[in-house]
This record gives sequence, C-alpha cells and structure tokens, in this order.
Amino acid sequence: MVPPSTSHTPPFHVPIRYMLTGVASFLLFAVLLLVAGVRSGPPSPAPLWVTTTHVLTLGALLSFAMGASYQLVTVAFLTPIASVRGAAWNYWLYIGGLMGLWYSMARWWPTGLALFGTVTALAVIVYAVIILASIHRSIVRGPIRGFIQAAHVDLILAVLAVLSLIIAMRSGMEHGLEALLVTHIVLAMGYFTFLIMGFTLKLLPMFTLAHGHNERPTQFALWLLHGAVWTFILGEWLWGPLSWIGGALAVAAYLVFVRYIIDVIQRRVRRRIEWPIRAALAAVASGAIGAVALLAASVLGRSWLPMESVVSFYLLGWAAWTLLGYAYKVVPFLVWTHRFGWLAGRQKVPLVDDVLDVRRSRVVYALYGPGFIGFSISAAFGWTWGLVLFSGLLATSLGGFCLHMGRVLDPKWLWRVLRGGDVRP
Amino acid sequence: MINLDEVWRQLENVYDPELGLNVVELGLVYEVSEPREGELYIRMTMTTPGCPMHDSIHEAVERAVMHVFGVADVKVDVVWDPPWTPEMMTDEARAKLGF
Repeated sequence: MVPPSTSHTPPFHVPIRYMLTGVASFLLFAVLLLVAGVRSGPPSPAPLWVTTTHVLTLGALLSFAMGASYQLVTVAFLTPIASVRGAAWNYWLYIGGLMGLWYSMARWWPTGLALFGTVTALAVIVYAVIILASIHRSIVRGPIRGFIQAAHVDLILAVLAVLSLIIAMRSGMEHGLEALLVTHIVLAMGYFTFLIMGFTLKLLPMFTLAHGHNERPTQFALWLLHGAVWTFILGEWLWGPLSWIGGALAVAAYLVFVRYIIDVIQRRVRRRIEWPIRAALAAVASGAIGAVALLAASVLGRSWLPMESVVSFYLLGWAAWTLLGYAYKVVPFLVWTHRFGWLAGRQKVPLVDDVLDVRRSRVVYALYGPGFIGFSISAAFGWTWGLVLFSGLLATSLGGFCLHMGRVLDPKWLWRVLRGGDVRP
Repeated sequence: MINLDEVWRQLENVYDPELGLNVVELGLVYEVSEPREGELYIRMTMTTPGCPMHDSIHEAVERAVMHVFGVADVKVDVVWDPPWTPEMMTDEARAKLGF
C-alpha cells in the first residue's frame, strides 16, 4: 500500500488569505446586520439587505469555504492543488470583484453590478475548476468524492444562473427572472450543503477520533440531495408541486446524514466532545430543520412561510454555524503547523489547544444559537424589535468569533501573509 | 550500538499536537530497531490515512531521535498495515481521552 502523505499541502498563504478574508467579512457582516436591523426593519430587497446578504454568502461563507477547500482537498484526496499559482492569483481577482460588487450593491449601480458581478463570477468559476481538476487527479474514491464534486458543479451552475439573471435584467426581459433567482439560490444552497456534508465525512471522524463507522449510507444522502436540488428547480420552472418532492428529498437526505453522524459519535474514541464539534453537530440539526422548513414552505405556500426566512435560517443555522464550528479547529491547526510544526521533536512546543483554547468558543455559540433562531423568526413575522435585538446578538457573537481568530492570527503577520511572504517567526 | 530504550524515551517527547498525547502512548510506533550499526529504523503509523499531522509527526520523530548517541542515520517508515485501532493506545492515553 502506498503511504499517503500530506506533502501536497499548499503554501500557507493560499488557504489563509481566503480564510482571513472570510473572518474579516464576518466582522463586516456583523456591523451591517446591526445597521440593517436598526434602519431597515423587516428584510426586503433594499440595497442594504442585498449587500448584507452577499457579504455573508460571497464574503464570509464562500471565502472561508474556498480557503478551507484548498487545504482540505489535499488532505481528503491525497492530491496537490491542480494549480497553486492559479489559486494564489485568483485571490486578487476574487477580492477585486467582491469589493466592487459590494460597492455596486450598496449604491445599486447597475453597470457596477454587471462589471464586478462578472469579475467575481469568473473568480468563483476559476476556484471551482481548480478544485474539480485537483479531485480529478486523485485516486481516492467513495462518497466524499461525490459530495465535493457535486458541490463545485453546483457552484459553477449557481454562478451561471446569476449571470443569466443579470443579462436577462439588462436586456429588459420580464419573464423567468424569479425562476432564475430561485435557481441561483437553490444551487448556492446545494453548494454549501454538498460541501459541508462532504468535508464532514473527513473532519468529524478525525476530530472525534472515530473508528469503525460506516460511511457507505451517505451515498444515498448524496443522490437524495441531487434529487432535491433538481426537482426543486424544475418545480420553479415547470410545475410547482415538484418542489414538494424536492423538499421531501432534502429532508430524506438529512435523515440519512444524521444517521451517519450518530454512528460516528457512537464510535468515537475521544469521549469529550469539544465545543466547536458540538456547534458543528448543532448545525447539522439546524440544517435538518431548515430542510423541513423548505418542505413546509413548498407545501403550505410562501405567503405562509416566506422563503427568505427559510433561506436565512438555512444559511445562518447550517452553513455559517458549521463554519463557525470547524474554524476553531482548522485555523489554529494551520497556524500551529506553520509556526511550530518545524520545531516539533527539536524542542518542546505548544499543542494546538495552546494556540487557541477552544472552550472559549462556547460564549460565541451561546449567543449565536439564540441569535440566528430569533433573527429568522423575527424575519418571518416581520418583527422589527426582534430583528434589532437578534441582529445585536448575532453581531456580538460574530465579533467574539473575529476576536478569537484575531488572537490566533497575529495581526503583525497579516500584511506578509496577504503578500504571500513567509510568516514563519 | 544504539540505546533503543533511549530512542523510546525520546519518542515520548513527540506529541500529536491535536490530541495532546505522545506517539508512544497513542500506540503509533510499531517497531524500533537497528538493522545495521548506527542505522535506526522506525516503523510507525498515523491514526488515519491522510492525517493532516502526517508530515509534522513524521518529521518530529526523525528530529527527536537524530541526536541519540550512536545514531548515524534514521529511516522512518509510515505504514498502514496493520491499521491503527484505538486498542493500540495505552490505558493512560485512553483515560486522558475520557474513555
């Protein structure tokens, strides 16, 4: 058997640049959420809410996910990144497009939206192609491969859907705009779901030191999710009741996935479950509840349960909470490897836990959990006071998260990291 | 002639930085031997294939034993057969993990 190695690990600056951008975007999202909650009342397609949403999705979530993917793909698939140089340069294309896009959204500047939207879309597609090309070279098979591939195919399609929407809007088309928007949102949700489920197959057993669990049933979750995404989209374009089936398939996918999670937890060697892992597990429960809400919104009608609230619950409860969980494990690990890995065996070095005590994260989660639940309920019922209160709770929680990450990532490193320099002390 | 007991003692200073347990109590080291005069051979494994700590631990093991008296050359083989299982840990290590 060929010994797997992690010597494929990309240079430190490649994943960490994206992750830093993700953390900074979380901070910006926290501030905008607070401002939007106070000024705008219930979520509406006003520029401030559109900007706030995209600071979360394109900035915090996607940027962190890109950085984590560049790191985790090498670990999970035992293969190098197909183009390290491409990944490094693409960061500047991405960040340039993102800044311009946020500005254009805040000012509602159509030309800027088209220009910077295209630049950002290009950067996202380049990222997805690099990841797909990297996986293509790997000999690793199994459900994780299917999940990560599906995630990046859905991401490319989500980008193409939004580009089509922009073209349709600029050419004065009136029909199909809402269906295009829903297609974009469903594919983007598909990306995060496939990605999180896929990497959970690697991360959860690793961090809980689980052995002897069976991941084959997750293959069913993979195909159920494919079915959910496409029947939901077809329901939007062709025949509404198809979206009921989409919702039901999503619930079934989560049930299979939750069964797998329970199996891993039961077979763990590490009895004490750390707070970040508990957060990731709570996020799985939120995702399952989100899928039930999606089904309910499809069957009962969107006037009964606004789709915006379901999407907000799903993004904050599933995607963001998972990320907030694993970030406390992945970022300190990366920093430890770079700062202390080369000294291990030569002298006494700190443990990863000494870089950041993960117990601190419980304060962040204690605020975040009630924050996103209250925020989503307030958004559904249009409670302005609730939006203000729970936006504040979420902003405080995310501020705490950024503070913790800032302590791990010595600010003095920041400039050198972003320039791609060696940050080894 | 290499003092293999001293090698095992040095290996106890190499930690899995994520778990906070050393490679000996984790049961990762399968064999320590001196096939030829001055040549130290270590056969070990990781808790899981594709372990992100693979390189760090592998290199730390090399560095830790390099200066043991009599060691002229070190070869560390990371193998996957037999695969690591939790039963390979010492009782103390299991207790530290809450077992």
